[in-house]
This record gives sequence, structure tokens and C-alpha cells, in this order.
Amino acid sequence: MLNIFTYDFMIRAFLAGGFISVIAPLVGSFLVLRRLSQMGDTLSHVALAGVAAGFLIGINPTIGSIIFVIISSFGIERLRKSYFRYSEISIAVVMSAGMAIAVILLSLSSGSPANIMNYLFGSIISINNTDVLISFILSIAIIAVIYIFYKELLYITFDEEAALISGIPVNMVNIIFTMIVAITVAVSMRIVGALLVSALMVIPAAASLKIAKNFRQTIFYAILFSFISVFVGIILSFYLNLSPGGSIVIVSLIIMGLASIKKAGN
Amino acid sequence: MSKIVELKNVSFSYNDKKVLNNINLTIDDGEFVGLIGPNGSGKSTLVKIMIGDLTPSSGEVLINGINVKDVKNRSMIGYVPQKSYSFNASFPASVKEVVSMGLYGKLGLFKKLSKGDWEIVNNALKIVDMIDYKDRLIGNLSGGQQQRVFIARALVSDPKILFLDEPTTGIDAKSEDTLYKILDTLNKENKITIIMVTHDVWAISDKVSRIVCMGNGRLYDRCDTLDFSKKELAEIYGYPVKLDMHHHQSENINNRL
Ligand SMILES: Nc1ncnc2c1ncn2[C@@H]1O[C@H](COP(=O)(O)OP(=O)(O)O)[C@@H](O)[C@H]1O
Ligand SMILES: [Mg+2]
Repeated sequence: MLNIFTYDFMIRAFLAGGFISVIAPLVGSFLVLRRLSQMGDTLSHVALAGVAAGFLIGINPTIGSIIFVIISSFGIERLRKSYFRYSEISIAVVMSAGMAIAVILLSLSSGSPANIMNYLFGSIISINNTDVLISFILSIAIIAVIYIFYKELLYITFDEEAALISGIPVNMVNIIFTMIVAITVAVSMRIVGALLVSALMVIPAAASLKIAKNFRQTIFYAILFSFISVFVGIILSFYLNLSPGGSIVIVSLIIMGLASIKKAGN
Repeated sequence: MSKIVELKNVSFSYNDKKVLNNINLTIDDGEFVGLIGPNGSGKSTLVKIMIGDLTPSSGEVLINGINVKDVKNRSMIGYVPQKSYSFNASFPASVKEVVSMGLYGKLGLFKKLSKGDWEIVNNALKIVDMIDYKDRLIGNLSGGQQQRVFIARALVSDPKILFLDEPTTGIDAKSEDTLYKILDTLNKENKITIIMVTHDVWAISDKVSRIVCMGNGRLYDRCDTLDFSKKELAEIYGYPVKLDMHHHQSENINNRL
């Protein structure tokens, strides 16, 4: 069998994969508990538009997608407030808008279709040093922000109204959180692909909920499960020549199944 | 006795629906006030006005003589919201994590909980007799136990006034008794002024030092004794009220909503 670590691209994939395996479930746990699981999915469609824009004007697609996703995440918030009785409308609208813009930009750009496929389905071969560096810097930033605002995020996630009353700057923390979600989607998409990025944010957190005894454990297990999923998934995708995003998500689903069985056994 | 809460001509509307109509109320330091009234009469709204969560459309709310919006030390006001309205019961937080949240506002941004803070959390859990449950998931507790946890959350910031909105809703008679004992201790020994909203006319009559009645957005001061007539109650409540005294086995009274 070929040794997986003799390939530079595999080292890069493991590095970038390691970073996103921490930030995706970290941010995803808060999303799931705030009942915003759909948001990752919506933002990933918008991120595709950013990638397409990146190809078109010749900037790094990850940076293009970060810009698009941050702008649209505030669009979602605005729409959510104006349609507050049907907050899922905002998510559906932004998702369609993202997809429509992505398709139009792609038809304008001469970038090869293979490139966009990397972002749709994820890729390990095409990750370059810049990608690794971007995912490293942004992951550190996201972890730092969540560490700093941990108690505020926990309180807002648990009970937004009580948090507001107790004097927590809820609006500010929400804006920061929205930006973190946007960045996480854009960074994670590089490996798992736009179609599956929200799975990596949601499924490990969902599995963790089955067994955690407190909030810290919820986050810890979500990261652990995601870490295992990403590494096993990348290895499987290498040896069996499968899509990395698909392999990662299947492994995480298996872990979620096991966690449910453990819970049922208790 | 000094006035700790004072409402002067307070009115409030949600959009154009008038909910509070020219309310005047003075509460002295150390009182234990029961605020009663039917559903929709504006009790929760009045509490939210008193803690500064809502701003009156006219009139003034003073806490220790200072407008509630200008109170620097927010942590002197403790609040246990009406259960179930915003908290997600399957949330994976342990009891001690939930109680610690009561300290977050006071600590401010960028500060982490210290050892001493966790001591405070433990002490509050001891006061409400929930220390043995500190590592349990909040969602796995009974309604009465959850309510005690939320009281502990309000206690950690060392409040001078404690507002409780229908703390006995959905809990059994035994837990209700425990809860009243805890509140009594907090009021008498810890010298915390307590304002408690409840739906039960009878259940609290012998627990509190004064009862204030709400009906149709107004306060009725003739409720501080229990000798009001059927006719008067019907007026306050807006519908005929049965006056029987089964109040200590009043499970069914708790089954509203
Ligand atoms: N956020 C809100 N927006 C609009 N109307 C509200 C809101 N909250 C309460 N109300 C209305 O105000 C009235 C008083 O409500 P509330 O203060 O909750 O009464 P209570 O606590 O006595 O049951 C009710 O008619 C209720 O429907
Ligand atoms: Mg109420």
C-alpha cells in the first residue's frame, strides 16, 4: 500500500482538515443549539457565489467566498427580523440568491469547471500552501474569539432574553458570532465541499448531544467526533479514491449512530 | 422603611394595545409582595417594566430612588422569568453551568469565572437545596427543581430585590411548599425584597406580607386582605370566581395553560 504521508498534498490535506475539524463543530454546536442548523447550508451556497466571483476577478476564491458569506449573513439577519414569523423564509431566499449568483458568475467566467467542482464536492489534492495558511490563521482567530466570548455565547444560546436582561451585549455578540459562522463555512468548504459543509458543522454536534453531560462536554465531544471523521474520511478517500466530503460525512454519521445506540443503552 | 421600588403613573402598550394603565405602586425594603391576577392582566409586563426590560410609555420606575434604566449595579435586581417561555429544556447544560450564568453580566466581557465564583455558585445551590444535583443536566430535572435552579441563578449576583414570575406553575404541591420555604428564608434571613407573580389567589395568602391585585391593566389596592367579596373578585378578574378554600390541595389551580 502507498504511504499516505509521502505525498505533500496529503500533508496539506491533513493540516487544513485538522483545523476545520476543530472549528466546524465548535461553531456548529452553537448553531445547532440555537436551532439555526440550516444556516450553514445557506451560507455554503452563497460561498459558492463568492468562489465564482473569485475566479472571475482573479482573487483567491476562499477570500472571495468569505466576503460574500459575511455580507449575506447580515442579509439573513435583516430578513429574519422583517419576516420574524417565518424566519425560514430568509434562509430559503438567501440560499436561492447565492445559488443564482453563483451560476451566473460561473457562466461569465472562463475558469475551468473542474475548479468549481473542487469547491462543490471538496478536494484534497488541490489544496495549496495558501489554503493551508488561510485556514490556519482563520481557525486560530475563530477559536480565540469563541474562547473570549464563551460565557456570553453560552448564555445567549441557552436563553437569549435572559442574557439580554442580565446586561450581556447580545447584539454585539450575535454580530461577531454571525461573522464566525460565515468564515467557518468559507474555510471548511475547501475540503468537505459546499454541499456537505453544514453536515460537518451539525452532525458531530448532534452526536455529542446524545452523550454530553454538560455544555463543555458537548463541545469537546463534537470536536472529537469531527476530528475522527475528518481524519478517517480523508484516509478513506485517499485509498478508495472517494470524495473526501462524502467520506467524512459518512464516518460522522456512523459515529452519530453509535452515540445514539450508547444513549439508548443507558 | 425605605422605598425600594416605586412606580409612578406607569402606563405601557404593546404596539397600540394598552396593557398597563396608570399604575402606582410602592414597595418597601424587606417586603414580600404577591402580585396576583388572571392570565393576560399584565403581571409579567409589569415585572418586565420594574426590572427595566421594558420601558413605560409614560410614568417612571424608580429602584432605590433611581430610575431603573440608570441603575448602575444591575446585579442588585434578580429576576426569575416565567418558566418555559424562552429556555430550551433539552439544552445540554449542567445545573452548575446554568447557575453560573447569573454571574456573567456582573463579570463583564473578557473575564472568566474564578474559583471564588464557583464557590458562590455552590452556595446558591445549597440555599435552594440543589447542591446534590449540580452536575445533572438541567433538562433531566423536574419542574420544581428547575425552578429552584433558576432561583439560584438569580441569587448568585447577590440581588437586593428578587422578582419571580409564576414560579410555581406546573410544579407539585410538595415542591411548591419547599419553594415557599426557600423564599421565606431569603426574605427573612437574607433580607431580600421579593415580588412574586402568581395566578393563585389563595395559595399565597399566608406566605406573603402583602398582596397586590391586577386586573385589566390596573392595580387594585383592596386586595391586601382576603375579605373581598365574590362581586369584587369578579370585577377584578372580569369573570365570576368560585370562592372555595381548597387552596392547599390546589393541584387543579396549577393546571392552567
Ligand atoms: N410581546 C408582546 N407583544 C404583544 N402583546 C403582548 C406581549 N406580551 C404580552 N402581550 C399581551 O399583553 C397582555 C398582558 O400580558 P402579560 O403581561 O403576559 O399578562 P400576565 O402575565 O398577567 O398573564 C396580554 O393581553 C398579552 O397578550
Ligand atoms: Mg405572565
